[in-house]
Amino acid sequence: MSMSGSSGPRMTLPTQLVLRALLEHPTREMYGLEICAAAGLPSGTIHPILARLEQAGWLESHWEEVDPKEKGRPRRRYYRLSPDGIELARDALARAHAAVAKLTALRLRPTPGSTT
Amino acid sequence: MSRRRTAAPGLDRARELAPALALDRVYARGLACQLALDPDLVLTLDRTRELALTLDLADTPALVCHDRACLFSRALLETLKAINAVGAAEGERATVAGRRPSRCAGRLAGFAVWMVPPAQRPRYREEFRAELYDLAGRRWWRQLAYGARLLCRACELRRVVSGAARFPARER
Repeated sequence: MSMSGSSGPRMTLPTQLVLRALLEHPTREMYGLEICAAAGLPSGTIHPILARLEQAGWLESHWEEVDPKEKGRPRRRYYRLSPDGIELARDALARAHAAVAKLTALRLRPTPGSTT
Repeated sequence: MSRRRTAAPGLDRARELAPALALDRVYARGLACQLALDPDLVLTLDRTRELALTLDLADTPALVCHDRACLFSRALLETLKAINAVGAAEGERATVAGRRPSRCAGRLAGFAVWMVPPAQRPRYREEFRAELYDLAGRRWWRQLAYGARLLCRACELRRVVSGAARFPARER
């Protein structure tokens, strides 16, 4: 399923969904569960993807600036696409989309000799 | 013997009246709770009481019962007001603190953290715990599923995270 490009992380389907969700509001910071909900993925499945994207420099993350004692819960880790990441993610998604479109066109092309 | 005979009807009468009195107490409490949830009703009853007093009906049992109910309801209203007066942040804190994540889900998340390289453990421990706290209001099996999914992907996370540590040049 992976559609690795020349550089950057593997463009698996969940990775594409995560990038699409982040690209909808590129400046908005989201934490893990929010990204899961926006991408339509089950909770607890995206941390490896986020780690991979962060390593590639497409994502930036930071801790929520709150006092855990005051809030009564641990701090959240917020993620956002980096300025370079926005462009790279758009390119990668376009490439992945083009590859899928190409594959679909190949499959739909009628084979020589077929009656339909 | 004769004294016992004279006391017996009184006792019987008391026994007969006891359920009625208990019922009266329960009614008063129930009414108080209802009134506490509806401040307008308290005001209406206050007006009714004033009217009853002007009509010289102060000693009627119904009015005594209502008086007691109003007294209880006012105390309940005060308590409710005190609770509502607590600030939004404090309220959120109370709600979050009240809802603890499932212990089993916490353990599964703990195992997932344990599989990550030691340098990254504090980060993922806090991150997973924060997400578990957000899921604390959901059903226990949803939290458990979250923990299980974390555990299923822990190997992949470990591979990604340790790859970064071993090959920093690959990061870009």
